[in-house]
Amino acid sequence: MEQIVRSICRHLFQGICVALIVATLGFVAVNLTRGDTALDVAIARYSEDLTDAAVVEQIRREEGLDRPLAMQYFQWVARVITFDLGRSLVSREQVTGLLAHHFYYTFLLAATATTVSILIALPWGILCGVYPGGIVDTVSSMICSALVSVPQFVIGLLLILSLSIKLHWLPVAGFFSPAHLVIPAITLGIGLAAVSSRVIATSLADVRGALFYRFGAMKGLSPFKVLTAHGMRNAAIPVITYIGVQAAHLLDGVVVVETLFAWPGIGKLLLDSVLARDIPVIQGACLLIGLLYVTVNITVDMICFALDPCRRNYQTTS
Amino acid sequence: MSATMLRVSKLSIRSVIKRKQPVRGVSFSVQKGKAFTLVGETGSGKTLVAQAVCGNLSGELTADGKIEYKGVDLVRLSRREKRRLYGKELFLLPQEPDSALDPTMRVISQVAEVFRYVRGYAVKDLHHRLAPIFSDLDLSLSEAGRLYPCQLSGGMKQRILLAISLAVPAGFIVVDEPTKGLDKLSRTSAVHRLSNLLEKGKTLLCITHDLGVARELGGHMAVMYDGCIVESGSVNHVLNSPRHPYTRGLIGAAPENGMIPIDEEVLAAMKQPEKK
Repeated sequence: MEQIVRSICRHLFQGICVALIVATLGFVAVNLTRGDTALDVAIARYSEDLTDAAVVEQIRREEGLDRPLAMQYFQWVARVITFDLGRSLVSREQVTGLLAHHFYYTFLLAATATTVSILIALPWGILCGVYPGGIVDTVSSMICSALVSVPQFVIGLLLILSLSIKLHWLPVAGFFSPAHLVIPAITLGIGLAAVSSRVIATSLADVRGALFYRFGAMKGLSPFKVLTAHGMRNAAIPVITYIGVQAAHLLDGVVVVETLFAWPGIGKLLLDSVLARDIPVIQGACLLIGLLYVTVNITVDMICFALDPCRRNYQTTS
Repeated sequence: MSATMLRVSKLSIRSVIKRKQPVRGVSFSVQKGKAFTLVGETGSGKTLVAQAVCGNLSGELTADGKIEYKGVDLVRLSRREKRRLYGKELFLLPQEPDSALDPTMRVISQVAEVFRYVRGYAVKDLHHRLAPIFSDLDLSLSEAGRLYPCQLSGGMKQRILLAISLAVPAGFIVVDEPTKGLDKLSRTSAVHRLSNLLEKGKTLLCITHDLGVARELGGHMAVMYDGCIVESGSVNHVLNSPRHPYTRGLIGAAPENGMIPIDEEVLAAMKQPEKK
C-alpha cells in the first residue's frame, strides 16, 4: 500500500513537471515561429477583410502582447498557480471552460472508441493466442497489418461513403446526437483493435508457453479452465499497459479523425488555436494533456499492482 | 506380487531434425504402489523417457515402441486422449518449482483448484480437504497458503508442488529431478516427502542423477547411459552388487564415495557410434 502511494506521488510530481515543460515549450514554439501573434489573432477574431493596423495594435495593447516574452510567460505561470488559465485571445472565453467543453467530447469519443476496440480485439486476440500459427492467426496477422497501414481518414471516408451516403443509416459529421458518435468511434476503434488484438495474441501465446500454464493442464484442469484461471490474468498485464497508452493517446485528441468528422474535441481545438496563435489555449491544452497522461499512467499502474502481486509485494515500480 | 502399473517396451525416441535416436530400446516396468528410479548422467535420455510417458515430447521427437499404462498403449493415444489422463491418472511433478506455480495466484488457490475443478468438491469442503495436506507438509494453511509464489522460498515452492501431487487423484506420479539444486538438508526432506507419497499409495517414476534418491525410495531402478538401459533390477541389487562397469563407475562417482571419475575407456566402449 505504501508503495502504491509512493508510486502515485512520484507519477503526479513527474506529470506536473512534464505538463509545465510541455506548456512552456508550446509558448516558446509559437513565439519562435515567424509571424505576428496580434495579427493572427485579429484575423481569427474579425476575419482578414476587417483587420487593419489599428485593430492589430489595439489587440497587442489589450492582450499585453507588447510586453517582453519573459514577462508574458511568468504572468501566465503566476496565474496557473491560482488555477487561472486565462482567456482565449480569439473568443475571449475562459480557457478552463473551453477546455472542459472540448474535453467532454474528446472523452466521449475516446471512451467509445476504446470500448469498440476492446470488444473487437478481445475475442479476436484470444482466438489467435489460443491457436498461434494457425490459419486464424495467420489471416488475422495479415488483416491487422493491412488495417494498421491504412490511414485513419481512408477508413473514415469509406465508412462515411457506405454507412452515411449510400445507406443513410448514420449522420456524416458533427455532434448533435449519439448516432453521430458511431462512425468516428468505429474508425478509431478498428485501427486500435488491429494493434491491440496482436498484443493480446502475443501476450496470451507467451503465457501459454509458460510452465505454470502447461502444469495447469497436467493438474487435470480443462483447457477452458486453464485459460481462464491461469491464462487471462497473466496475459492481461502487458495488454492493460498497452491499452492505457492507447487511451492516453486518444485523450490527447485525434486531430485527423476530429477534423474529418468536425468533432469538437481537444485535437481540433488545439489545431485551431495553433493556426490562430491563441497562446493561452495552446498552453492550457498542453497542461491538460500532460495531466491526462499522468492520470492514465496512475490508473494503469494501479490495475497492474492489483493484478501482479510480485510487483505489489517486492518491486518498486518504474 | 503387486500389479504392473506401467510397462515400457522397446521404447525408442527419434529426433526428426537431428536424425538421431536419443533413446533406444528402453524397457522397464513399474509396479503399483512402488518407486521406479531412472538414474543416469545429463544427456542420457532419462528425461525424454519421462516426457514420452507423460506424452509431452517436443514436436520434433517421435516415440516408437509401447508404453502401456494399465493396459492402454500411451504411444497410440491422441493428444486429447492423453490430456484426459492428466491429473486423473498421470501426473508430472516438474523439476522447476519457480516457474511451475502461477505467479499471480495465491498458492492455496493453486492447490484448491484441483479439489474444486478436477475432483469436483464443493467450495465449503475445500478447507477441510486442504488442511491435512498442508499440515502433512509443515505448511500453515492460513499463512503460507495466502502467499503468492514470489513470497515463498525454493523449498516451500517444492512443498506446494508436492501438495498438488497429493491433491490430484492421479495414482502414478512422474517426478523429474526432485533434488536438483537443493542443499543437503532440503534434499533430505524432499526425498522424505517423496517416500510419503509412496506411503499414501502413489506409484512413482523418479528421474534423477542422484543415486541416493533411488536408495531411499527403494523399489526398482534402471541405469541409463547414452539412450540405453545398461543395468536394471531391484535398488538393493543394483547398488550393492553392480554388474555393469558403468554402474560401478556411477556409484564410485557419487559424493559419498569420493567422487572418483568414471573410467574414460568404459564410456568410450558404450558410446553410440556416430552416423555418417
